[in-house]
This record gives sequence, C-alpha cells and structure tokens, in this order.
Amino acid sequence: MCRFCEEYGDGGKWYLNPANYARRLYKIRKEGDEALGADADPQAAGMGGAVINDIIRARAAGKRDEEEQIKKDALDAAYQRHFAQVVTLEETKQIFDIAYPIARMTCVCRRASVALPDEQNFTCIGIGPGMYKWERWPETYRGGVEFMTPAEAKRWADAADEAGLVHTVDVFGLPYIGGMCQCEYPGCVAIRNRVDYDFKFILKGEYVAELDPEKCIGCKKCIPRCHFRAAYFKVYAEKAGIDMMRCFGCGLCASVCPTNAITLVERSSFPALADNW
Amino acid sequence: MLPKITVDDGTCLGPHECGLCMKLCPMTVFIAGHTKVWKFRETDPKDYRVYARYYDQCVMCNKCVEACPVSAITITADEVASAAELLAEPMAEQPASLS
Repeated sequence: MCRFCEEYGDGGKWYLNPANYARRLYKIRKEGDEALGADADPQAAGMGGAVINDIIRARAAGKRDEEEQIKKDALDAAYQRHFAQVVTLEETKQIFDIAYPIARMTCVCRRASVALPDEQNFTCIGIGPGMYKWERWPETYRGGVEFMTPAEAKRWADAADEAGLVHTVDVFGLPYIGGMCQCEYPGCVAIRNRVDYDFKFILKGEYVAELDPEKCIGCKKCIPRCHFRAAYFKVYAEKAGIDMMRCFGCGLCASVCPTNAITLVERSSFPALADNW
Repeated sequence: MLPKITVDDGTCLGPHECGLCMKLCPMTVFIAGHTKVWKFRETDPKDYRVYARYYDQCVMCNKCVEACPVSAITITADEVASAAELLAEPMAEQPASLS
C-alpha cells in the first residue's frame, strides 16, 4: 500500500475508491492565464516541464545536491496537486466502471515531446466533470474530446495495452483523479523524466511483475514491452528476466506472455520493494 | 564538454510545418512548446517552437543540423565540463600526455 492508499484508500487501493472520483472534489483552476492570448513559456511544455529544465541544468553541472533539492521541492507540491501512478489494465477497466464521464482526448505529452499531429494523438482519457469544460481551454484538449461509454473505454484500453502503452492514473488536486493516461518512453514526459532523471512525478504501481522461469519459453515477446528497462534476456538461460527493483508493475509484459509465466504480485508482499515507489 | 544547441526561432519553420529535427534525433532531445495560450481557442500551430530540452543527452551526431532545411540549428561543444567529467577521477592522476 502506498501512502495515498493509506490516506485515501478506505481500506483498498486509493484509485479504486469511488470517493476519489467524486465531482465535488473537482476544483483545479488554471493559474494566472485567464486573459485572452496570454504568453506561454514554450520551454515549460509537457507535464512538469519547467522543473525538468532546472533538474537538467543542475545535473549537467554536476550539482547533485541542488538537483535533489529541486526534485524534493517540486514533488512536495506535485503530490498535493498533480502527479501520476502506474495501474494495471484490469484496474483501468475497473476505474471505467467507477468514473463518469469518460472522454478520449489528445495526449499533452506526445504533443510536446514528439509534436504528434492531433489526429494521431488520441491516446489519453479524461474523466470527471472537468471534461464538460473542455471548450474553455481548447489548447489543453487540442483536437476536441470524444465521450465514450465504459464498454467503449474498456475496448480502447485493450487496444492501448496491445499497442504497448502503460496505463496510469492522473491526479488533479489530491485525491481527485481526473485522467487515465496511456504512456510510453520517451513520448510520455513523466516516464521520460523518471527513467532518465529519476524525477518521481510518476510513481510505481501497487504491483511487481514476477517471472516463473519454469514456465518461460524464452520467446522474448515481453522484453520490448517494458518502458522501464526492467525486462531483459538471460542469454545463458535462454529465458527472460525481470529486474524487480526497476519494475513499475504495469503488467505489459504479463499481458503478452503466451505461457502466463509472468504474474503481478502485490508490491507490499516483498519487504525490500514495499517502499520502492 | 556539454553540447550547446541553439534553434533560431526566426528562421525555424516550426515543429508542425517541418519538425524534421524532432523526427530524426536518435535521443529525442527536442520538444515542441507553445508560446501562446488562449481561452476558447486552440493555439495556432505557427505559435509552437522547437526547444532542445534534453541537450545533456545529445550525442552530437549533427543529423538535425544537416537535415534542417533552413539551417536554423547549431550544435557546439560548450566549454562547461559535463557532470560525467566533474565526477570523474581527478585530472592530476592522468598521464600528462592525455590532459
């Protein structure tokens, strides 16, 4: 159980608690730029953009202490306001039965990180009453939004999983969950910054993938599915390996395994991983 | 040594009209950011700019420089030492011929 489960889980996973999707929680407002045509900082594009510039500046100069302080200050604020956590495909589908409304929208990360055209970029899901207000800030919801039924959203999540995208929940004012992102390295700014700079804007999931070497046939299908550099191939054994310290518990490796050699196990069941977020 | 990357906003065609540098970069160094935000309307694609956010990961292959149709990108070796060099063994311990 992560700290958010303890505080907002009501005995279970915090993102499966319907209270955290309640519309009365929706309160986040854009800061400052209510005026028409306000200047924006292009360098700050993407989630946590302004902070990562400072982190890179400190790291490039070899100032590790300064880098850690920048991260700490940024995350203290982010964990109250806006951050993400990895969830599994099954949990994603459960959330689609809890949250309403559900709307497909373009991914703000890929827009910034690879300038993906809107028509190819409908890989994000917005949930909750904020989606009714999309016309107020069309740039955030570039290309418009498309409301979906839970059944449609679940099929869409299956397609995202098959394509190889990591499922995450996104907080907009703790504990309100307002988004379900489908992420990847390096297109997702959060995953990029976590993998390359250890900036924990995105947290690991409640599970860890465990591989049964007896069942693994060494087909390697799982390895390119991993965005966190946790899956690898043991050449000497002709079997896959999973670095559980690096694993985020997204389950993408498990959902493609033909022999069900990979299972998702509660992170808390491994004492050395229980606090590894 | 750190790569120093500049993109001339005045001549750059922008990430949507061109974006070749972003597509070709093997390290995904560039990002595209908007310079304007409007209420009730999307930002014009022309108001997006290319920015070398992850310059510390640049391997200086120069593919972006060579591909840029308007020669808007320059990459130079910054005089500043990189973190890898700062954290490496003290220079004094190396043979004089290498320094």
